[in-house]
Formats: sequence, structure tokens, C-alpha cells
Amino acid sequence: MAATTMTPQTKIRDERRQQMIWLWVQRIMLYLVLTLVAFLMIFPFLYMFFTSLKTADDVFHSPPRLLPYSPETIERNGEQVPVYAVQIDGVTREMVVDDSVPAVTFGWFTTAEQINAQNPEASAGLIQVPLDETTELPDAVTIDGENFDQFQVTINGQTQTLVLAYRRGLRLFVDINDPTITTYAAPRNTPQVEFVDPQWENYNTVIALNNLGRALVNTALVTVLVTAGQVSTSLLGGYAFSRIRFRGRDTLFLVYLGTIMIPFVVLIIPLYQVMVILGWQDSLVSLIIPWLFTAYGTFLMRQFFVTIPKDLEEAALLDGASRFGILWRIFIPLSGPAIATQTIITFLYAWNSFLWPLIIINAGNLNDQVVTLALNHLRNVAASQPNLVLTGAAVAVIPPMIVFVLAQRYFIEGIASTGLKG
Amino acid sequence: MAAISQARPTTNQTTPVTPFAIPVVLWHVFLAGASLYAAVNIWQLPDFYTLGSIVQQFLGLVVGAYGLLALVTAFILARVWFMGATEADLTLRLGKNEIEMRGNGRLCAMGINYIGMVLAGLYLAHLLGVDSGIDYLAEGLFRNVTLLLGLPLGYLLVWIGWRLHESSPTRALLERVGLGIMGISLMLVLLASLARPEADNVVGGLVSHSVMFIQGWLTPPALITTGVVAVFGAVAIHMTRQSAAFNEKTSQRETWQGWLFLLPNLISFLLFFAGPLLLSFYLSFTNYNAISPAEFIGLENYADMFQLSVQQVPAGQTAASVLPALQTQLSEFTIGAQRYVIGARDPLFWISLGNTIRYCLLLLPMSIIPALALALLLNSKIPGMKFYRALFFIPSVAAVVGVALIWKWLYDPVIGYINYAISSITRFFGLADPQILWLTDTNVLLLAVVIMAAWQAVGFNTVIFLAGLQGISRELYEAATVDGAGGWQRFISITLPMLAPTSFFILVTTLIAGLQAFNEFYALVQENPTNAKLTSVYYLQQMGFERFQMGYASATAWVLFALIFVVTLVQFRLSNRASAYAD
Repeated sequence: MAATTMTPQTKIRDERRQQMIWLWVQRIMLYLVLTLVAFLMIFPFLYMFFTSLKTADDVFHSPPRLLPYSPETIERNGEQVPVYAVQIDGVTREMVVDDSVPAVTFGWFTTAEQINAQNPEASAGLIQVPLDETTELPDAVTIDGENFDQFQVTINGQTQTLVLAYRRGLRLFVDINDPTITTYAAPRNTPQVEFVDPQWENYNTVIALNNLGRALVNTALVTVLVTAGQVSTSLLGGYAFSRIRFRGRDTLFLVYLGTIMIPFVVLIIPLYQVMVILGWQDSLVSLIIPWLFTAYGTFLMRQFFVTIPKDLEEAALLDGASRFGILWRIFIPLSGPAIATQTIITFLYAWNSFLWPLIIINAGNLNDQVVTLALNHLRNVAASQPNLVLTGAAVAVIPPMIVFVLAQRYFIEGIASTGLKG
Repeated sequence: MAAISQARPTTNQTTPVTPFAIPVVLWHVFLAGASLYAAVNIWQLPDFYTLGSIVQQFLGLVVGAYGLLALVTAFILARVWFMGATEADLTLRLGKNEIEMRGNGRLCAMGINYIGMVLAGLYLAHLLGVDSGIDYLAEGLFRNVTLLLGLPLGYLLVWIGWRLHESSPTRALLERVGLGIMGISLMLVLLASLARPEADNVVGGLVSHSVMFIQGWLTPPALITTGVVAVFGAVAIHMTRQSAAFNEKTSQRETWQGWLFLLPNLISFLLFFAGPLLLSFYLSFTNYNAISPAEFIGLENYADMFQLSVQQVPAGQTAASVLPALQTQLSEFTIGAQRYVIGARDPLFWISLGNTIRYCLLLLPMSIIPALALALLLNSKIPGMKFYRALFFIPSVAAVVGVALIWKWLYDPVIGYINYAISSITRFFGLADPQILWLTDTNVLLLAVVIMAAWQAVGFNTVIFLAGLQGISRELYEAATVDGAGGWQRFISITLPMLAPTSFFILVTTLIAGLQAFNEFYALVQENPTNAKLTSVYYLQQMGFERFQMGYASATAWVLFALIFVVTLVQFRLSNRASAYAD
């Protein structure tokens, strides 16, 4: 830079450009960081989704990989046989096992000096020869306390005495495109040719396996009824607390506020007994009726109604409108956002609740379970099939996400303004 | 209806007698008699669901109070109607207060009858099997779930309609057709569900189910209850209509209207919240075990829970030999050369409490600090921030049980991504692979749960921090910038203090939720055989519902409540101070 020749104008322009560049660098960094965090937040769900599409074998592939794969098969002599990817002289070929040729036992030989006694497969200078083409010598040799058999092996016409490191049965592989190319290999150690193959039927399997479909319907029904009930009792109660000046109101309101602090665990045991007395244990009604009261919802509605100007309803009261008419025609139409917020939060709370159903619904009762219970059951039923367990998790987790995505605006703004913990 | 703001003065007018005066008074006398008779019988019941005699005595007192109220009401109504008592005659003077008994007598009558109607109505619903009807409904919905596809289809049509212009005729048509499809599919599903699940033929099923329902209604208990509900309702409505005759004042009208609006809320509050709360408090002083009758044992549960002792262990002796009877070793420590052992009557209580507190202490920084950082990053006006905010929020929407199953496999030592990532990083730097057994190693198990819980909570806390940040006025920052404060200085001297109320709020809600942690542990590490997975609520659940020590479990619940109460109280104190500071 020739700083000496710069006019003041170009200097300012230069500084501005530098500032712009710095701003853009900052922004790109910001987006990068945010994208990284977003990836961390979303990745478990991606993992869940992709694993739910895998086969039971594919889940246990190590190292882990996201996409669901299945081995490629080909029809050969009227049977579906797997296709392997075999490397011959640096070229990867698609091959199948020739079933007509029985397994051939191969030996891996090396000299007594080169053998690795602790881990013979890692010995140096290993040579692979069919055992049939060698002759076993009667006496074994002991190296570092391990016994190894000795063989007469002919290599390129020269016969040597070598030590057998290990032996393995190999199958004849044939190239599917060019049958003249063959090789011997162990199917277990040869990578199979795989293709991306989502197992959508996992969803059908899991829904049938554990009566998960019924659990979904139950959960939806319970959630809808609890949400409708909570919103209506909150609307009525919130209206009374905000607009009607009745005796005992302020005391009762304080009592309601106090109950917000009381943790549910204090109520579990007596509530269970109340359900037993009413004969409601082990039935869906026990998940609905006790949950129609909500101090928090009543409080929220009251707080919202307090902000509605009084003039509107006073005019209506003078015109002879009933209290209920005022609530229905004036307050409810004005409180769309509050109702939406409470609806969504209650929906999520009811859908995701677990401790109460766990206690009140018997583990064996597949007809009255909800999704969270069904999932807890599924983890034991399908303990060795993570693909099915995660399919169940997807079934339980995706509906609330859809609701969230649809009603995201109300949700986040409602949370931000009320700070409600679901 | 006249203007509500005009209160009528106390008059000496007598109340006009309604034609129903005699039956109404007789009904209240009957109610009083029946309730008092019931109260005596409930008091004397030998045993009430093994809950112990105190519960039924309490219930007897409640029913007796109801009966007494009915008796007083009958007395007032009789004086008003048959002896021509005026408002002035029936005004009680208690010190400076005047209590006007005539109008209040009417309010009492209304209250008694509305509450009676609701309770009798609930009992009728119970007799008719409405509660098991929900199970039928679920079964029917499940069998006819394809019919519900009409709901999204109809909604889609309405949604498309709403995209169109306000005046377009297609919009109205789409709206009507969409709503129609939704309504019809809902009707069909309900009809098909009511038609008993087993029925192949919907119409036949409906008929046979209706017949069964009516047959159920025609049994004596159901018929009598129906009659009782009807009488309660008729008397309640009749008394409501007597407002002019009883010279109703604004405050009285507001009183019954207010309580009537609260009735649905209040009934479920009393039955399923206040009642169980009292019962829980009582049970915590009993040895209730759900099988044999509960006995009052005073503070024994609490005393057992808190029984701790510290003993010196002389050289050459085992820890168990020096502990008092019934105590087991909780932990031990050494001061100098001397070994000490801490014994507890119920070590699991202390272990679970310790786990809970440790969980909270780890969760607080891990869910709050990243949230604050993210909120600061998101708090700029450049595009896309709302999108990121929504993405960060998604984990807190999902059920913990589902999330825990995902993390269970992410934590898997062989095929899990977390160990894969760790070993990739350590291999890159040439370090040893730690091979962490997240869910089986008791030293890291808690951390594993905390990581999952923090991951779920961060988005939620970010949203609240963001709301707090957006509430800070720009002028403060501008003034600070003019004064030459740098970015870090502005953060320390403006952002942090102004965020104090928000931070306290998040701190306390996280702490309260953390103290009640159960789902995270149960769902993620229930297979772990050690006590490292026990939290207070987990312990309570095992005590109450696996070992059925319900009295003791109630006591642990109240201890947890006391802890939460203290936390909340401290928060109130501190947040008042904090907001005073922010002002």
C-alpha cells in the first residue's frame, strides 16, 4: 500500500470497506457457530429417524453410519445370494460365492523366525497356500511357549519347511460379470456390496408389535380431552378471577397461586388412592379427569383478561348480556393468542407425561397405555433391536414436533412472555 | 336486568312467598337430615380403603358441615317465607360488621344445590359407566381411525380457502366444504365408536348399545340419582331466579356468579388437588402400606429418614460393628489417622437426595451458560435468527422417554456416535481412547443424564433469555457506547445486571424441575442395577409403588416439597433484590 499517496477520501473508503469485510466475517462466523449448534440439537433426531429405517443387522455396523443399508443380492441358481466386493490386484470386483465348490482350507505359513507367537495373524511374511498342497511334518515347534505345526510347503517349485500360523476355510468367489475370474476368500471377512434401503415396514412392525397404534389413539384422545378441559376450566376461572368481584376471591386466588409451587410428587400417592377408591385405576379416565384443574392455566388466563379494557363488557352488561355471553362473545374472541399458547403447552404436557401413566396404568395393560408407556415397554420387548426401539421413539416424538412446527410462533412467543415450564 | 352498579338500600320489605316455598324448605330439611345421618354413618365406618379412621372422620365432618349448612339455610328460608322476616330482622351484628342473612341464606341455598347437583351428576356419570366409556371411545377410534383422515383433509381445504382473497366465492365454498368434511368424519367416527367395538354392523351396534345404556339407566340407583340431580338442579335454578324477591345486591350477584364460574375448576381442585394434598400430609405421619389399615405413627417416618450418626472406627474393627442397630453405612472419611463412618437408618434416601442435588448442580451451569451464549448470538437483527431459535427449541418439545431411547443408543459404547466421536478426536490428537461406558459406569452415569437433560433444556432457556435480552432498552447501550465502553464492558455492566431477573427465573425453574427429576433417569438408565440411578422421585416411586411403603414415601415427598419451597423462597428474596438492582 502506498499510504503516502492516499487522499483522505480514499482512506475513509478503505476503512469503510475494511469494516464491511470485518462485519461479513463476523456474520459468517456467527452463522457457522449457529449451524454447528443446530446440528448438535437436530442430530439425535436424525439418528433416530435413519436408525428407524435400518435392518436389525445394519444397526450394529461399526463404525456407526447414518444411512440405512442392505446387502445387495443377486439371483443365482434360483436363489438370492449376497454380492461381495472383492479386491483382486487393486481392482474391486462384484463377486458371489460359488456354492457348487465346497470350502477349501487354506493355511497361512511363515518361517519360525518371523512368527508372532502372541498374535499369529499379525506375523510377518505370511504366505497363503491350500493345506491339501502341503505335507504336515510329525513334530511341532514351540515358540514363546506356543505350539505351531510344521509343514512342507512348495512355493514356485521349491519345497521349504514352514510354520503354520493359522488356517481358515475359504470359499470360491466368482465374478458376476466374468465367470472366468475367480478367487478364494472368507465370506465373513469380505465386505458385502450394499445399497441404501430404507425399511419403512419397521413402522408397521412396531405399531403391530406392541399395540403402539392403540397407544397412539389413546394418547391423542387423552391429550385432546385434557387440553379442551384445561382450556375451558381456565377460561371460566380466569374470567371469574379477573372480572367478577365475589367474596373470597382474593383468598382463593392466593390459594391457587400457592398450589403452583406444590410439586406433583406430593400428590402421587393419595391421588393413586383416590383413583382406587373411584375404581378408575388402569383406565384412560384416570389420565383425564384429575388433570382438568390447572392453577397455572387459570392464572395465565386471568393475567390475560386483566389487560382487556373494561368498557367493552360494561356496555354489554348494561345491555343485559349474561356473564357467560360476555365471556363467549367478547373475551374468547379477543384471547386467541392466550388460548393458542395454553393449548399448545397443555398438548405437549399431556402428550409427553410419563410418571402418572406409569403409576396408574398396569404394565401389562396394552389397551390403555399411552405412547410414553408403550415406549418404555418396547425398550424391554425389543431390547436387542434398536432399529425397532427407535422407530417407536419416532412414532412418539414426531407428532409433537409437527404440532410445534405448525404452531411455532404462538409457542415460542407464549413461552417467552409467560416463561411456562411444560 | 337493571344496572348492576346500583346497590339497593336495606329495606323492611317482606319477601314474596313463591309457590315452591314449602317444597324448597322441606328439601333443605331433608338434605340436612340425610347429610347428618350420612355423616354419623361415615364417621362410624369400620375402615375406609385401609386409609385409617382419620380420613373417614374428616369426610364425616365435611358431610356434617354440609348438613348443618342445609339446616341453617332451611331455617332462614322458613323465617323469610313463613314468618315474614325482613332483611333488617335477619341482619346479624358482629362487632362492627353487619351480616345480612336473608340474601346470604339464598346464596347458601344456591351453593348447596349447585354443588349437590354437580356431585350427584358425577356420581350418575359414574353409575352409567361414562368413565369406562372413554376406553370404549378409544377402542372405537382405534378401529375406525381411517375415518379421522377426514380431519386433515377438511383442514387442508379450509387452509387453501384462507389463502384466497376475502371476497372470492371459492373461499367460502372451500371453507364450508372443508368444515363439512371435518364435521362428518368426526360424527362418523363417534357413531362408529359408540356402536360397541365388537359390532360389525354400525347401525345394529348403535341400537344395541343404546338399549344397553337405557337399561343401565333404568336400574333403581341410577333412576334415584337422576331424580336427585333433577331436584338439586330445579331448586338451584329456582333460587337463582329469586333475585328480585330477595332484594339481591350487586355484591351478592357477583358472589354467586363468580363461584358459579369457578365451580368446574374448583370441584376438580378440591377432589384432585386439595383433598389429595391433605391426604398426603396425613399419610406422611402413618405407616400406610395399602394393605393393612394405616396407623398414626407421628413423626416416625421423618425421624427414620433423617436418622444419621457419625461413629469413630477403632483400628481393627469393621465399620458395621460400631454403628447403632438398624443403621447401615452411608459413607466414611478419615481425619488424620482416625477413621470415621457415617451411618444412616435409610441410606438410600440420602444417596438419592445426594444424586438429585449433584444432578441439579451439574445441570444448572450446563443448561444455563450455553443458553445465555446462544441467546447473545441470536440477539441480532440479521435474518435467519428465528429459524435457528426454532431449531434450538425442538429438543424440548419431544417426550423425555423417546429422547432417552435415542440417547441410550448414542451412548452405546460399541455402536454409539458419542464414543465414535470421542475416539475419532483422540485418535486425531494421538491420545488414548477413553472408551467411556456412559450408562454402566456409575461415575459417569450422572453426567450422561445431565448432558441429555441439558441438551433438552438449552433451547427452552435460550428462548427465555432472548425475551429478557429484547427487553433491555437500546438507549442504555447507546449511552454506554458514547461513554466509551467496549463490548465486554457493556456485557458486564449492562447485559448481565439487566438479565438478572430472567436468570433467576431460569435458575429457579431449572432447579425446581431438577429436584423433581425422574423421567430422565428412569428412561435412560433403568437397567442400571446400582443406586447411582436413584433420584429422590425415583426413590419415592420405588418406595411407594414397588415396596408399597406409601406412608414413608409420602414423607419423602413432603421433604422434597420443603426443599423446593425453600428454593422458591430464596428466589423471591434474591429476585426482589436483583430487580431493585436492575432498576
